[in-house]
Amino acid sequence: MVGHWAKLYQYRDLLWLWTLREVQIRYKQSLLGIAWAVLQPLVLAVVFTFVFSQLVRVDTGEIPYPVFSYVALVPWTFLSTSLSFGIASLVNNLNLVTKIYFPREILPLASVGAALVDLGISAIIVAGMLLAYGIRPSWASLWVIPLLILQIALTVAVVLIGSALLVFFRDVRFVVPLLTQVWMYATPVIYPASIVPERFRTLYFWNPMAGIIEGYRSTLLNGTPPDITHLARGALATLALLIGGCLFFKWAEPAFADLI
Amino acid sequence: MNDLPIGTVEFSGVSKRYRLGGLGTLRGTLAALSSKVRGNGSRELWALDDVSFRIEPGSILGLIGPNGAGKTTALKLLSNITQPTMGRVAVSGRVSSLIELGAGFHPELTGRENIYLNGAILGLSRREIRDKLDQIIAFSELERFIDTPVKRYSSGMYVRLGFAVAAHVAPDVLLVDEVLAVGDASFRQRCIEHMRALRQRGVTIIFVSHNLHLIRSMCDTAMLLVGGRIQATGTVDATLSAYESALIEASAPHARPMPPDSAGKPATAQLVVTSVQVLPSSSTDQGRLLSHQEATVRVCYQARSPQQIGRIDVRTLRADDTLCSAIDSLGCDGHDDRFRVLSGGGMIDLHYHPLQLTTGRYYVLVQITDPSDSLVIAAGQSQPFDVSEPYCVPDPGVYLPRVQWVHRERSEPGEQGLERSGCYPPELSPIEQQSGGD
Repeated sequence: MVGHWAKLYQYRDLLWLWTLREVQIRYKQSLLGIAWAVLQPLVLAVVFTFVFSQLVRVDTGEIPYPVFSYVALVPWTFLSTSLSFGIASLVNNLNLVTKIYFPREILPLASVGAALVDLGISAIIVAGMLLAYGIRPSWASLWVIPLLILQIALTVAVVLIGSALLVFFRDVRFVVPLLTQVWMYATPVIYPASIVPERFRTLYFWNPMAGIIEGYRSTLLNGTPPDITHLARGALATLALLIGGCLFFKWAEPAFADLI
Repeated sequence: MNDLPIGTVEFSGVSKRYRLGGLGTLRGTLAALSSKVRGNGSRELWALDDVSFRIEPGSILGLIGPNGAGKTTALKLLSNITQPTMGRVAVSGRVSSLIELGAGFHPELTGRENIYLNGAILGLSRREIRDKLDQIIAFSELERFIDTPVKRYSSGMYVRLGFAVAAHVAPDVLLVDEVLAVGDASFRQRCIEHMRALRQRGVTIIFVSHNLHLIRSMCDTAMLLVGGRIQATGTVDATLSAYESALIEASAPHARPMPPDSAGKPATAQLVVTSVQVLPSSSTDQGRLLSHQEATVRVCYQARSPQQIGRIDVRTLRADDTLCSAIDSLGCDGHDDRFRVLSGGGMIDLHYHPLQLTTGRYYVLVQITDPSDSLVIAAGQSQPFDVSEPYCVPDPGVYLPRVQWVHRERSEPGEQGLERSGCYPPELSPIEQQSGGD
């Protein structure tokens, strides 16, 4: 395991350059370029705002629904983008994987890195939106940093597992979009966690994204720290997934070049 | 593992098994599992089978063998792309390969951006690339286009850029797998020069090629792999002749002249050798082939669509399968466009002037390879033919050299020396030459 980390460190420049490449090629031939990073969650926020504040009323307390949903949709888009690009990354670059040696985790990790760049750009819009709605940052907003680290860890874990699985089973390609949808509905992205019935709460917060998204909301919108018990459960699940994911990826890695 | 001197390569009892088919979809896996339960384990392939060898730093090993012999698998094990099923592969130092030039190039990125990316894939740090950037660009001779997206590059430019990066990796062990099949003659020449320069620096090189001339001129030792096992190893000459006889053995049974639409493989093949004939060039001698006269091997082919080819290989064998000569279309006048694409139907003549075979029965084998020069895509064989020669010694060997005898007798000082000479075969008289109609 130590050898693997050393290799990854040795190839850190490749990780950086490949991330850059992912960002560059994703927007190079698109008309709107990097604006898509902002547009994707924004369009969803507009749609959800219309549906959940005009058609079906969802109680979001004092928070206007557009801010309520956009603050959650931006980190959610980071996860879903990472999943869709990261899980396909090994199979999409099979000519590299079968011809040249480098630590394979660089490909999925770079996809997560590229999605992180998108997140950074959208975060600027979030900040502007908060100011526009008169929501001022507080010290509690610094919680965003550990929340983001936790979310990155979770994303990396799922992407590692998914990308390795896809090499073995191409079925994964069809499962991923479906699971991402299901996962979003199991996460308080478009509704507040408060409407989840009490008896489901314990189970509900084993989903790390539930605690993370609720955390972003409470720290950014209400200026209160996240619910530590909820978050701890999610962090535990994330840690288990991350360790399991790394081990699984490293176990599967020698077979990649033979199977693809 | 790393107590070996830098640049050493060692295989100890290495075997590599591939499973064919099976995994890939859930259904496939389930099918594979159920066939395993039923004890049907035949869908595996041992690409390498108990292979052991050691290469010392600074030597050049030529790895040869027919397709599917395990050469590429050996290189993949060496470069750590795949792991052995059994045994141990030990390589000390940095391994680099001229296998996939321009790996990871993205068409939308510029040449410069791709240099960084490709260099990092080959294991260079950004700093190393930055230091060598000017050299790499100069080497590629693409200064004017370096900030153009590589999608606008020609394939030759693409390969040149890839090679320029690969050439600056400074490896301890270099793997070369048929890259010389791409690019033009001058590119090929630069590859070879590069390999020679690395050899001077003491880099260990493992060189896979079907081009036996190149193996002969580049390598210190050679290893012949057949069916995943080492069949011969040692000096280049001994290994190559073992390979050539293995080739002939393998190709003889299924290289008969094939009608284009007979059942099986030829019907689906894009390129078919329809006939191979050996013709006397002169109209005299009633169609007999004479040693000291010219002859032509005529290869007729039929291509369903324009077909890129690598090389046409013509071998003359005696009836007892002794290889008498081997000529290929690369060896003649460098890289000739006449032999790059075959389309429609046509024939290719190979003139022997003179034939220079001794009396006996022979046949000719023709093989045409694909552009990468690694696959035989069409083959044919002539009917056996007889060569005769009027002045025959009892056991003439296979080759009739054009010789000249010179006899100088030692003479007394001051006297005119006596010189006698004679030619064999006798020079053709002017009249005969005219009737030869060359």
